[in-house]
Amino acid sequence: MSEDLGFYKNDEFTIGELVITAKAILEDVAYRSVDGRVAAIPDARTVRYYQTVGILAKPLRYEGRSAIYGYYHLLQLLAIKLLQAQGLSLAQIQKVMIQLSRKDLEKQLNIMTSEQDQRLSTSSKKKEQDQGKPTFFMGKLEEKVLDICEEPIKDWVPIYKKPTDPIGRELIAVEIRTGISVMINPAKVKNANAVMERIRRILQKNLGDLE
Amino acid sequence: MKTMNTEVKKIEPTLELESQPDPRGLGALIALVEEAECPLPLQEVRVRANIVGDCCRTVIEQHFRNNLHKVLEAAHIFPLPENGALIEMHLEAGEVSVKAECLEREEAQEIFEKAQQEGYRAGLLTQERADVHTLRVTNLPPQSDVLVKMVILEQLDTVDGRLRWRFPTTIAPRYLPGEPTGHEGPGVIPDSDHVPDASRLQPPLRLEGGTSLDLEVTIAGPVKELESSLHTIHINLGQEDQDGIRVAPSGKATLNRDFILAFSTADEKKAGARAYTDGAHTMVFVEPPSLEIPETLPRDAVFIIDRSGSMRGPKMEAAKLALKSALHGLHEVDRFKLIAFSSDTQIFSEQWVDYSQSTLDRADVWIDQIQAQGGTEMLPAVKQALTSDQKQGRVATVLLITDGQVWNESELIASVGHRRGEFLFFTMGIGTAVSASLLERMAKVGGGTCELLTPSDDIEAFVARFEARFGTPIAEKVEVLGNSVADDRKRTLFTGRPESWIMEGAPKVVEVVGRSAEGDLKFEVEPVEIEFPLGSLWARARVAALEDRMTLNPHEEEGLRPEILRIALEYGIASRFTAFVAVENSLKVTGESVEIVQPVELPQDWDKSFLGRTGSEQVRGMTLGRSLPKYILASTEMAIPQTVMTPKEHIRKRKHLEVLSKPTTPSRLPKSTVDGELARRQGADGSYGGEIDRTAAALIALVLMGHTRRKGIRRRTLIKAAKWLEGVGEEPLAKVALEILKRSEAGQKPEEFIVEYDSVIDDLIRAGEEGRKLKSVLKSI
Repeated sequence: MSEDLGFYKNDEFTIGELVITAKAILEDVAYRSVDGRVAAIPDARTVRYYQTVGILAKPLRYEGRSAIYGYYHLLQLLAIKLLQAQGLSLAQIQKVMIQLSRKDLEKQLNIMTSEQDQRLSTSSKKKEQDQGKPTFFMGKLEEKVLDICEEPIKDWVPIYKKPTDPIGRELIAVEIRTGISVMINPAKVKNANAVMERIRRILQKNLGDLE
Repeated sequence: MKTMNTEVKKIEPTLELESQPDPRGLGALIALVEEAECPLPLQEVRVRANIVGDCCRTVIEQHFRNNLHKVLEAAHIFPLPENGALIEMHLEAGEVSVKAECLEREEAQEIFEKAQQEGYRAGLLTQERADVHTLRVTNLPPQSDVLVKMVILEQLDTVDGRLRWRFPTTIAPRYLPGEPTGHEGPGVIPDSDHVPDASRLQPPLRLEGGTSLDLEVTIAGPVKELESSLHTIHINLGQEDQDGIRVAPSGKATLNRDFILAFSTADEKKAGARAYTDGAHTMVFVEPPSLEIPETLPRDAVFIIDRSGSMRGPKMEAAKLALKSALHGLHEVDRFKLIAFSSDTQIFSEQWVDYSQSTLDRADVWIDQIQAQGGTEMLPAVKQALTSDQKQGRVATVLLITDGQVWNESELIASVGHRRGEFLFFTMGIGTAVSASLLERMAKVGGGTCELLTPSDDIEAFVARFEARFGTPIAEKVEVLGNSVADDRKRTLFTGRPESWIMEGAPKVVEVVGRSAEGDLKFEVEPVEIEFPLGSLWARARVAALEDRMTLNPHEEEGLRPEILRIALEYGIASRFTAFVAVENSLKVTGESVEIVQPVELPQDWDKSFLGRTGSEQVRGMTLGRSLPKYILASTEMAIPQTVMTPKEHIRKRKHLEVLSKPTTPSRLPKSTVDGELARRQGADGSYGGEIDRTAAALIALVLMGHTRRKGIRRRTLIKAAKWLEGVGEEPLAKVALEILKRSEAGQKPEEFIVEYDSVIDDLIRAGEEGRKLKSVLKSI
């Protein structure tokens, strides 16, 4: 996860992009969880609410009426969601988040990722044993992560009939433009959702004059 | 700048996150939560208020603690009494104390930033609004404390014969109109095209726990009665030979609601003028005579009610009850309009509605359906009210009922102020942390009064007292003669609301002039010497008057700004253009630092769904809960009703102290009293259902409760009922009722002579709901 987060170091996001990016990263986390359930997805409203309680920093700046966010905000958003997954209440999270710098956050999220990688290298049998233990990506996650986004994010159109690879493993497929889709096999690509989100952003930026 | 010449020490953060072992990934973060000590910097606020006569000196101490292993900079956005003059600030760390200087805001800011960069402890206090201040303390070493002490002077308001001291403790989430334009300040909402400095105003919301409030008020001189409407209080009557008493909340209090004390002193204030001087400045009061309500011109009354999300819960119910009570207080010759607003404006009728039984019934139904939800677009509603057409020979009034939680203060004040003279604009603020500065200023520029109440007050009695003022000024164009009056705007005088002026100099005689219905009004009064210093109060009032002028005429800013700055600097008071700064350079800190903006509590009577995360609705930066199922509403904590705990033996010793005590069990909904209900049930024509027996029963019940057409808060109800009964002709029941009323007005005690009417009363107690009310009143006497 740390490497992937590095992607975003100099990025800027609108509130919608911030949410989509966080969603992509969190989905990878969920993808690696035991039953592949989707992790907590913040929506734009929730992001603004986090600001009113002071756990998300003020935007970098405004462009017209749109707030522009950056890497620090992404880290904060991920940390909030991951702490929630640990079973912490928002009130407890407020006390933690309020005192964390960007450096602290980066470090904490890295530690978390390496722990996750270790877990992935263990056998599937071990995975089953771990289920129910209060470690981060298992057991607790399924119970505690509740606020699944009700409305699908509009500018990320999923394909309804899910494509699969030759042995039946489901692929992530995203329609970038009408009739133009990108597919990624999560069984072969690490952090598939985050990678997809990167590709989508790059393509959409560069496909601007295609039509 | 005063500095301490102690040896400069260097303090390094003792422990950092890096050094902690971290086997559980997020463990380090979670460990932070589990630590017993709260990382939030503000530990306690200590308030000591000293009331002498009409004035109060308050010392406020904010205690900050750095519980972290890093250097801390804390920012606290907090309220202070809106009319207070902040005259002193001290920064105290251990043995070291530095007195802050009052400088031009930019200069103070520069000094603070320099200290911030150099690693010295420093404090900066800026005023953002009359009632919103920001305190920043920087370079607090790990595990250390700092105390910031502030001193304010203020003059108390008098409402219906009682002095009122209000201490605000928290800034509620207020609505931000307009589109975002940037985000400069430490607050949690952006600047907007309607409120360019909004990002400095709104502190983050605290999700759990609260900062404790240690508050004590000392009142000098004999106190006759005393009431605290939002806190259970403890009274210490002090030594036998002293006249002062001390009042404090009796339990643990936190910064989640105003502290409101209303009391009356033994010295009766007679109608007319009185004045005090400290030798350099003179304060003048005009106490309005308590007149019988004169037969006034017919009224055109616009009522505006706030139904935004922040009103949800007991506040909305209280506001609806207040609106109904005020509406029912109109007469048959009057006309009215009703406006409700949240994100949009809803009107009862485009045209003026004549006051009649059928329109009243329809209006009641319309009011009942009002639900609190959405934003606070107050300006369009106010503008709509003020564009109503005018008619000669009628009095135009507007009453705005709201909690005032909106940030576009200047726009609202300007919109009301520009229509001064065409309407009398009244405001009624409901809640435990009302945005009082906005409502006071709107009423002031609108020529009306501002009335503040809490959801646990007796709403009907409150409105009945207010009715004596609503649309019926006693005198107009009242002014103190002289050149140096701080606020020289001419005033309108209302029953129960004395006006005050403060002027430079100590003249032998002060002259007050004005116009009343009976002709010219003139008072001459000789000031009495007092020891309370009045200079900073003069400066504060002058600055407030100039700020209002600047709000109404933005093009005058260039000329007014230097004038405000000059006065604020000369008297050393906080203002929009001045700030207090203190630097303590005995200690230099280095190392990683973190900035925390202190989160503040949601006011106690607010719907807790504001703290929820899912199902919350965002309205341009502010969170507003969706309508929730009833059971959640029912679990909303109510404001504690006023109860006064007094040791009985002390009361016996001090007979002059009459303490108002109210029920201890919290009521979920606003209380309704028998007389209030009778006032509300009355038909537009003054009768009860057009029936003689019911109307007679209601009238007698009110008389038995001590009301007459001349005194008591139900004057209007009685005048209307008596008038109707007089019009029905030779009806025996009507005659008896009117006779009882007249005997009571002649000074006889109804409970003594009522037995003479036993046979009639026996019939009347069977006359519908009013009969039942009469029966219950008879039982109680």
